[in-house]
Amino acid sequence: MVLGWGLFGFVDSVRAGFGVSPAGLYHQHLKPGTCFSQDFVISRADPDEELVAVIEADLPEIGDWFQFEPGKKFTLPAGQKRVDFTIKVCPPNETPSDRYQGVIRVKATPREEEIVGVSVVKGARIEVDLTTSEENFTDLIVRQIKIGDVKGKEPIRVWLKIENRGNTVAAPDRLELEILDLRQQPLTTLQTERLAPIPPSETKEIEAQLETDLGSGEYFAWARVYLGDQLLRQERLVFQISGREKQALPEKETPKKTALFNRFKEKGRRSGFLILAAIFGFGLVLLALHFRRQKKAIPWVFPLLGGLTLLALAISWNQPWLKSSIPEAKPTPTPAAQVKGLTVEQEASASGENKFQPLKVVGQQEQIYYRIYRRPNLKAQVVYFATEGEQFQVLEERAHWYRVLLDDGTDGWLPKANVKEVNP
Amino acid sequence: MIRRKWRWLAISLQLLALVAFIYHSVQADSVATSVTVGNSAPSFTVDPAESPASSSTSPTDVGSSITFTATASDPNNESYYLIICKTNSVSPTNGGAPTCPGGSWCVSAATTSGSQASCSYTTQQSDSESNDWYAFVCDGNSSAASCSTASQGTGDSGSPFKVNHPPSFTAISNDGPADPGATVTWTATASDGDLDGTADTVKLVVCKTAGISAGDCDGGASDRWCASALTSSNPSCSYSVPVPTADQAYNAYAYVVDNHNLGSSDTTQGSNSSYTVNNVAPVVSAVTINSGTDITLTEGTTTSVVLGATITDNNGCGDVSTATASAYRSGIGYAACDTSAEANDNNCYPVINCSVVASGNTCDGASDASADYECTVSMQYHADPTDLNTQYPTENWLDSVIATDDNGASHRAEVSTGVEVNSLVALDVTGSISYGNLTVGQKNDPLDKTTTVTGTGNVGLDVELSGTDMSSGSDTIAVTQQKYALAASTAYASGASLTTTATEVELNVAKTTDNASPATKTIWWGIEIPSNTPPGTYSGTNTVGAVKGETVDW
Repeated sequence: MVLGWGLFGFVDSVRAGFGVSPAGLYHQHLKPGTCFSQDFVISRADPDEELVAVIEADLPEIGDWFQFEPGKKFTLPAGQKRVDFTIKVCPPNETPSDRYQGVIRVKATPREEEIVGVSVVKGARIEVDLTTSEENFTDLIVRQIKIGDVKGKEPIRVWLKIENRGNTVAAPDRLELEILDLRQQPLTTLQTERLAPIPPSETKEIEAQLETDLGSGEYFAWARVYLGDQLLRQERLVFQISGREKQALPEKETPKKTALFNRFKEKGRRSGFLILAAIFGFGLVLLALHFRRQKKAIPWVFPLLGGLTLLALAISWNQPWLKSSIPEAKPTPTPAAQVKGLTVEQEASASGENKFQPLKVVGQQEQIYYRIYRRPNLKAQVVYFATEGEQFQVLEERAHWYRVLLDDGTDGWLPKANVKEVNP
Repeated sequence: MIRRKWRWLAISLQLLALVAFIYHSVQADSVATSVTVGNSAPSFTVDPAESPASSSTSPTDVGSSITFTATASDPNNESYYLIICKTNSVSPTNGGAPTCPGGSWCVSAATTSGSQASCSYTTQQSDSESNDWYAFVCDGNSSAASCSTASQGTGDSGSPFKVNHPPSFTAISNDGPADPGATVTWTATASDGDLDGTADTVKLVVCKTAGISAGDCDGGASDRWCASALTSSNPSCSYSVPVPTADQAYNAYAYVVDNHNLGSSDTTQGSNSSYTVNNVAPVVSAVTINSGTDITLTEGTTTSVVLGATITDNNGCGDVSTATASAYRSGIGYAACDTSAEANDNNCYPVINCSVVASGNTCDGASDASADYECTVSMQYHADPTDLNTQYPTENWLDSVIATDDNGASHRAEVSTGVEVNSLVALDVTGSISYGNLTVGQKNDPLDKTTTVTGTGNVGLDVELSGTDMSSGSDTIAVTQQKYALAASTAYASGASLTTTATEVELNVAKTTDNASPATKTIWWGIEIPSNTPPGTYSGTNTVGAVKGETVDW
């Protein structure tokens, strides 16, 4: 037995955790002669001491492709939970098309002079899986679309943040901007094909400008980015134009009443004038036959009858200013809910269109809900979300609320403002 | 002969004298016999006139006063009366004012001869549109009062005077309620029966506050909802409700006036035909998650992820009472992540409060419909990854923003394109290994020193183990003297030797799903002190590296 041997112990000198994200460096269409970069984050929940990040690459055959920014050794400062670094991969031009794999290890080591006893060093491994190819591959992702407010005669500016995941310079083919008023009535559609290209493996924000003579006001705009026929992304945006004449809302076409047509309340008014035209025309023909038989000159009554015939025909024609005097039934602007007899229904716009139909956009979901509360108080707990067209039985009525019966046998309070119709 | 000539001359002269005498006598008898003293009627020195002058194009409104004036002179210097009769007939009154057998419009007070006399008449609803008048000046002689002949003045200030009657206005209605951006139309049941000259027309004026002046709202254009054109009957006018407009009732006072700006006297005049602007649900646009960038989490703690949207309410941006958001893995979907009870730090972060941005597109008052909102979600380190080689490689993360107005109407919109949550390969190694006092040849058998590996990322873990030789000065203990195992009570001989080369070990730490109880696994350690090892304190470094484990073991 040998006494006096030293104590062999492990000192838990590094208590905080350590992690790296993302956990892989992948590319399936890396073109030799181009470069591809990816950002990583080293994170520590409890960065109570300064450490040194050490990167060790285990990349058979391809180690020379890799560059590390800020380097293979850098400081992880105390108090900083996240530290970024970048790995750039540049396969040389003559690289054969093949799959290349390896790992990159990142570990956080204490400073050399601080090692006492046996230190436990934490690390993380990044998987590397690259496939080189000479074939062009295009893959654009529109990360974000933003629109700016317009002042004076400035054009509309739209910013597209686009990531080029392909291996060749690429740009979207066109940006389409469908502009609507705040009632979501279409006003105009603008388009531009002048979009800056994005280098491969890069993310860039490009600006597109579109001229418009819309007046001052606030607008919705559907921005759609296309690559060929492929819709990369569409987004509904809101922007404002100031410093111009105010934009007039599109007039809703309403038929004009005239005193003449006030007498005609039936849709058969046109047929009345057609009958008149027929009578005048028939009289004209009879007179023509008579005078021809008599071999007499055409009297003055002919032009008169002819004029009356034409007038009757014109009145019965579908001319805009002679249209029906019956105003088109304006869809009753409905409150949001109708309660049984109340039915929840969407609010109709002035033109009768349902403003809140699900958008015709693949992948985007929209929905309108009408809340039913536990008590007649907008701050009370919501017990049910009613949807368009739902009906409820009324149990009680107050000044601004209906108490309604829910399907599960319980009840809740629905604001009268969201009621479209009350059925007795 | 001479006598006869002179006789005829004398006779002629006498006859001539006689004729002269007779002529003179006749003259002398007229002056002497025609003078008689008595009362004479006054006479107009200034023709009568009505004021204001009325005409078909400028009649006098019912209820207004017409003043008749004239100046007369009385030969007897008596005071006179100006009387305006409805017919060409007047009766003088001894000692008093005359009267009109056919009715009078007015009569003045006694007026000094040579001074202007005047009297006034207030037009009545019952008056005809055109009313003849005959002016007389009469004295009030006590015994033989006398009047002049009639005078009707000239031009517009002469007879007749024209009366404008107020239009009829019996009902008013509007087709509200209306949405912002829609049109409210008021229609009046009104007409005007005046036909003198050309038929009177009527117009409808709808005011924001009560009161009109000169045929328009007394507050001017800014006080007016709308005004119709002049029409024969039943005028209507429309008001285009701007966007935004608050959802509430608005007063609207309706007035009907004729083409002379005379308002109706019916009870409907000035009544409040209020209209209501509907509440419309807000609209959510431009939904974002982490600015469109893939999410990289932070080891062992939360990461702030910003969700954004623009919320538009056509009742005004201030009509939005709450804005909340939910962030969720696409495979979960909003329907399973819309209540607090569904919260799951792995895949669902519901009901996150949003607020208007501090700068930029803020809510700037009643005329502003839109504002940008931001919501911050604290995403746990173990939120499900969606990149390659994970359990959900075909999914991504989405968010929905829900705006609710002060009437409980709400709208939800989901981000159009989601983002990935990247794999976070992370661990913590807790515990300490104390091999204790060992002598040469001594070893930990079975392996009984432990370290605990905790998953502090969002993936299941294996580990890579490697180490360095331990050293004490120039003395070393080879790294291979350390062994490890993944099970308890493993004999030293059965343990795996630690090497300088990172070696992957299938530790299979599950993916942490609950921060309160993170996934852990234990590694057992031991060491054998080789022979001939000098005594001392030996130090070295062991590395435990996190490796993303196979998804089946998560």
